[in-house]
Parts: sequence; structure tokens; C-alpha cells
Amino acid sequence: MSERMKMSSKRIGVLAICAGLMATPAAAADYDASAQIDAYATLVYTTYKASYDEALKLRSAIDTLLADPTDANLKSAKAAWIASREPYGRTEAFRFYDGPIDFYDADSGEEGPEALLNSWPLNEAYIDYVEGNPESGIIFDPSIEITPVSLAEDNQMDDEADVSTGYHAVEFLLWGQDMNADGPGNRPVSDFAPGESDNERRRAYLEAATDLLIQNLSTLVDAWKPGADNYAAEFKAMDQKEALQKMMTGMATLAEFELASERMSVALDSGYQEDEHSCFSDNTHRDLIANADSVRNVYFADYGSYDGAGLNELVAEIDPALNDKMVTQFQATDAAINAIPHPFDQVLVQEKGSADRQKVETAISALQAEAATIKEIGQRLGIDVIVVTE
Amino acid sequence: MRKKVVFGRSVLGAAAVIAAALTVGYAPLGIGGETKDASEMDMALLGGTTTIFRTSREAFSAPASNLDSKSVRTFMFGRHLFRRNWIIAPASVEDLDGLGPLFNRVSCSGCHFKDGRGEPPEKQDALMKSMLVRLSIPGESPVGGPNPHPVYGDQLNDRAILGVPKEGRAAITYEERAGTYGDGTPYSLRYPTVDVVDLGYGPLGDDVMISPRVAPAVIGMGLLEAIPEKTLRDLADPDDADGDGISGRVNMVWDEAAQKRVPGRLGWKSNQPTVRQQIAGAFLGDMGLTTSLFGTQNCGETQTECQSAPNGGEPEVDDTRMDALELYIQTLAVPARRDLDDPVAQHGEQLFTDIGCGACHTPTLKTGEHQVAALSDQTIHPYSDLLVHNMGEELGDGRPDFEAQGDEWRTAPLWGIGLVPTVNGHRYFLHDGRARGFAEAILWHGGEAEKSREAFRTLSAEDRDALVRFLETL
Repeated sequence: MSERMKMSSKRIGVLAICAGLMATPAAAADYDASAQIDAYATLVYTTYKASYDEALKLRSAIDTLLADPTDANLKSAKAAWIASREPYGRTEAFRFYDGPIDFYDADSGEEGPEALLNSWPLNEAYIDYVEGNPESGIIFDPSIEITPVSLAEDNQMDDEADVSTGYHAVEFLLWGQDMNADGPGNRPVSDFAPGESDNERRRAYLEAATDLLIQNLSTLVDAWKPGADNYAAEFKAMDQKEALQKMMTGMATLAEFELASERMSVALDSGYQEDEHSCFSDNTHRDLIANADSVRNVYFADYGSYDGAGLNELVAEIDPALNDKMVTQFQATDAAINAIPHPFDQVLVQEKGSADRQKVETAISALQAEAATIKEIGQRLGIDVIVVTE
Repeated sequence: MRKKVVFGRSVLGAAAVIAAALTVGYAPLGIGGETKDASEMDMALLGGTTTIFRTSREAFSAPASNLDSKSVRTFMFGRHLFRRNWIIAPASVEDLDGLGPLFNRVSCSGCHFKDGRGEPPEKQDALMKSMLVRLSIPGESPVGGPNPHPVYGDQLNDRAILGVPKEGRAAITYEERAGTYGDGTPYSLRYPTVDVVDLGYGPLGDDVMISPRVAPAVIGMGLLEAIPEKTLRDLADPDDADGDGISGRVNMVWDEAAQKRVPGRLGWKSNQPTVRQQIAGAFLGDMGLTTSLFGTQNCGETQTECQSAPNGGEPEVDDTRMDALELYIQTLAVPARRDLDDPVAQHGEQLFTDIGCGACHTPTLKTGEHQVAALSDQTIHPYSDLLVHNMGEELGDGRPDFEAQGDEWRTAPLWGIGLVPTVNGHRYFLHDGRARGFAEAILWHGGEAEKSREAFRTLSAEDRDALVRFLETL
């Protein structure tokens, strides 16, 4: 196929979305997806609510740590952080379509809180001391106010890596730099002892960053709360294909771009031990599993005790073989992701072609195949699924 | 009351161009209305088939849409390096160390934020964040380029690692000067003066030449690299043989890899021949990182702390990483033009042609063969001839750069310029960001562009707005 032809077919695809799907491909089936769209809204709400609840527990563990900075309380706070990542990682398929998490309104400058919640990699030295620079960052600059509002304003102002907020900022504050070849960061609990100016600022920072996390999760819960005049209501009222397109764009983009490319193949190609998503805590393997689950959860409308009408039911009616293929691929991804050794950073430093590296490559391929099938399902439903690269 | 937020912009917005193209009559594969002229649609594809459809803040950050998946993986690795912070040697993460001793920023994206355009500091006493100052003294370097200052080198490094003095800080002050449009409407231009203060290594001397430059957006660079040399020579008219008052010249610059003089294409004075050399130059000059192309740290004669500082390997950035970054910059895509059906923008485009802007801001060029197949044989719309032109003394920096004189600048490509406010949140244009908006940028045009500038100045307010509207669609 010539480049020109490729371009033309691409244009058609884009055209189909913008013109309200005026040109329905011949292969597309007739269907009613209202149950799936309603279930998706409930799934999103349920997962954000679980993230919010875990963040409250994290805040409580941090309160305990700051009231009584002992090793045991630091350990509990770290455990609460790790627990808080489990539901949040399962929300990431709700990104990539300009919904509440990551919309941007160029006219008002308003935007969703994604960058404030989960930005990485972060420039440690922008926040606190690092090896070789004992007085760096916002914590050692008393001219900078530390409040949830001021931290949000400082986030990624000049550089993508100048992250001052979110899960990974809290992670860095709890663990410190990971300078260990075979373990996570090891910040001394004395960093949180009250009294000294920089410690006081670090304590304030930890509180403010956690409060901001909670605030932002709370707006997402509100945006998806059932029965309110909010985004969930708008979403359910949308043209079915538009809603389905958003759902599936989020799935395919998380699988193929954010997870397979950004978090896995880039980390492998880079080969730096600390080029991993949760580098301070060495919790990246859990992030990978949670993200892969996030894609699957949308397909099955499944999270914890919630089990709604999934896309699987819709696709099984229209094209049972395609549904079987999708289900089999989710199982393959699940097996491949769970087979990745942890800590993930140990894999990154291995020689090219190592068996452990190959395990990551297998998971990358599984996610790419998964994304291809999501696009194929889109075609059967008369929807163009685009993988958005940020 | 909670403000109602409009969702759904980027996913659907990506298609706005197509929708616009449809309404002017172009229909891909004949779907929709009458088929008029494919060329109208092609004018939207500023980067040919590499063009991407994106109008968000990430509009400059996508790979060429026709790039194969293996290359996309390399692109993503390159992008990661572009956004990564380099750190001081020795560090536990060895592959990322070697920053400095002298530097300006710690990452590529520090200046080229979101792969976009830099801006001058808002406050006079603030450090430059996405801008730098080039230095030289009279004479030429051994390869015919600017003659570096014996101590400070060819660029002011306003940051340094611990234990090494910084070179100093550039401070810009502005003087407002009033002007008037032909219809009597007043305007004001701000005239910058650059001073170097807090000097770390003694006085600069009276004969130093200073050129402030903001970081340009880094989209479409591989396409510019792929324009055949013959095209540039055909566009050039050094002696103004056609008598139109415009004498574009090819700036012949040193190609370090080829060890010879070749046409410059990139940089504010077309002072770089290739993407790879541009990157290696920026690594060394902006971040103090050595590469196989430029392996010697740029410490000046008396900068002893700089000379004795530990390095992060030889070279500090290896060729694998250079390869990934090179592909990344070569294939960062140009976003499609928007609002082709806007009659105001259409009128503005006509004015752009009528008053002679297109004589240098060449709308259409063709690429030749390129090592990256996706970039070969593309019809592109950079709105530049890549030549250097005399732009008048007021815009000049008085600092020659190879064959480009002090008042000569490369015709800046205009593709993507309408998205700078979205991506970078500002409207500061020209080499030092002195222009506050499109109209001021045009009003600064002098020298060979004076006639066009005067034509713009004497247009009606409606026509001036239309021309600006056209630029906003690019």
C-alpha cells in the first residue's frame, strides 16, 4: 500500500469520529450498549472511590508518622502508600479521552488533575536533598510557601521532570532516593523529627502533598458519582458510539502506549536502574499489574465486589470468536505481567537478551496484541479506536 | 457554583481539520460533498504524510504519523532522554551523569518545554529558563565559525556544578518605543538590551559580541534536513539577480562529521547543518555533556575548576543514546493546519502572498531522500526557505555566524506557530522573544522585509487581523 493510500484510510478513520460516525463501516453491527455504558460509569466511580478511601488511610498513617516519627510508623506509612497504589493503578484506563482526569480546556486553562496525581519521572532535587546536594529543592528554599495550592502551582512549571506533587512526590518523601542496587530507598525517620527548619518544611510538604492528592481524587469521585449532575450524567447521555469510543480509547492507549511503551519498553531500552515508575519504593511490578488489570476491568466492568454488564457480553453477542480472542489475550497478558520478576529495576540493568528481559518483552507483545484486538472490536462496533500518544 | 467544563476536546478536536476540509469541499475518497481540489487538503498537511492531527498542549510531541512501529519505539526512548535530567558526575546512575561543569539547563526539555518554544524571563533579575546568550569576539574559529571568547567560550553558562563558579547571568532590559499603524492606531515595540552581570571569570572585554536566542520549537526538523541542497541553492539569490529586493543566501557552515563546509539549515542563523550536530552542540553548550562528535569539555583558558572537574565518561552521552535522540528530533511531527474554511484566515493567506511574505516564508517545498524513509519525498509547508536574509539593523545582533552577518537571520519556519500559545502558553516571537504577539513580530521585520512590513503596517485593521488569523491557523 502506498503512503498516500495509508494516509487516505487514516483520514477516513478520523473523519468517522468527528462527523458523528456518519459513515458506518459495512462490518459494524447494530447493538444497544446502554447497559455497558452505565456499568462503565459505575466502574469508574467505584475505582476512584476506592482510590480516595485508600488515600484517606494514607493520610491517617502519615498523621501518625508525623505525630510520632518512629521506624514502625514510617513502615506503616509506606505500607499505606503501597496499598493506595493498588486502586489508583486500576483507574488509569479512564484517561486519554479528555474526561475528568485529564481534560484540558484551552480557553479557560482548566485541566484535569492527572499531572498533579501521577507524574513521573520526577526530579528529586526539585523537592528535597539528594546525594551530592544536601540543601536542594523546595524544602530547602524557605522563600517558597508549602501549601496544597502552592505545590500545585509549582508542578511541572518549567520542566516535565519538575514534579512537586502526586503519588510519586509522596513516595520520594517516604522512601528517599533509591541509591541501593538491591533494595528501595531508605530515608531515615529522623528526617521527619520536628524542630529543625528543613524537617518542619518536609513535614509540611508531606501533609500538603497528601492533602492535595485527596482533594484531587475527591473531584474525580464527584465527577463520576451516580445520580448527580456531573460528568457521569453527561457520559451516559452521550451518543453510544462516542461513549464507547472513549472507553476503548482509554483501554487501547493504556495498553499500547502508556504501559507497553512508556513504562516498559522505554525502561528496558534505557537500562537505567531507576527508570521505573515507582523507583523509590521498588513497587513498579505492582503498578504494571494494576495497569494491566485496569484495561481488563473496563472490558468486564469488574472491580472488587462490583460486577456490571461488561463489553464482553456485548461482543459475545455480536462476534463470539472475537470475544474469545480478547478474553484469551487478557489471560496471556495477565500471565506475562505476573511473570515479570521483581524488583523491576533488577531487570533493567541486565544484559540485552537476558531471560528476565525477554519476560518483559513478552508482556509488551501481549499488550500490543491486546490493543490490536481492542481496535478490531472497535471496528465491529463501528468505532475508530485511536491510540493517543502524549 | 462549579464551572461547567467542556469535555471531549482532544479526541474529537484531532479531527477538526478534516471537518474543516470537508466543508471547503475536499472529501477523502469521495465521501461527502463535491470533490473540489485535493490541493486544499494538502495545504493542511504541513508535514506531508508525517503530519499529525493534534491541537492539544501535546501538539508538538507526537511521532510522525507514518513512522514504523520499530522506529516509534526508538522515538519513545529518545523522548525519554529528551525529558530526562542529567546529573553531576560521579553518581550512582552512571549512564545519566556528566552534567556540566558549566551548563544552562539539566535537560533538553528544560528549554524546549513540551518540544515547544522558549521565552525570555519575565523578570529582569531572573535566570533564563528557555533562552541563552551566545558570545564571541571578532575573527573566526579555525572552521570559519564565530570566534569563541578565550575565557567564556561561545555561550554564557549561567549555571555550574558545585565547586565551579558560574560564568554570569544575562539580564535583559527593555525600552518601549511608540509607533503608529497607517490607520493611526498606535502600537509599541520593546527594544531589548542585554547585559551580562555577576561575571565569574573577569570582564568580558569591549569587543565581545552577544546574541540572545530563545529555544525554538523542535518539530519538523528532519523534514528540513531532508530538503535537497539544490533546492536551497535554487532558492538563493545572493546578488538579487531578479531585482525583487530580496537576496536570500545559503549560510555555508562546518559539518563536523563530514569535515567540510555544507549548507546550514537549522538554528536562528542557519548555523547548524544537521539534526545530529545540533543535538551534540546543545549537549556540550547547554548541558556540558560530551559526545563522540564533540568530545572536549568547553572549559575556557582560565577556568581551572572547570578543567579539573570529574567527567561522566568519554563520551558522556554514548552513540546509542545519540541515535535515539537524533531520530526523536528528526521525526517529531508537525501538526496539521486548522480552520481552512475560515474566510478570515483565507483572506489573511491571500494578503500574506500579496504583500510578499511568501517570498521568504516559502509555503511549499519538497524533501528528497533521507535516512529515515518516513521523511523522504514529502511535500511540506514549512513557510521558510532556510536561507539567511538581511532583516535590518534593529533586529540584528551584530554577531556573525559563519557566513551569516550580524543583521542576517534565517527565515523562521512558521509551521506550528499558531499552536505555540496552546503548547507553551505564551506569544513571544523572534530570536530573543522580544515580540509580544504576531503583529509585533511582523512589525520588527526590516532590511529585505521592510517593504512587506510597511505593507502590513499600512493595511486596514481588519486586514491586519486577517493576516494574524492566518498565522494562527498554521
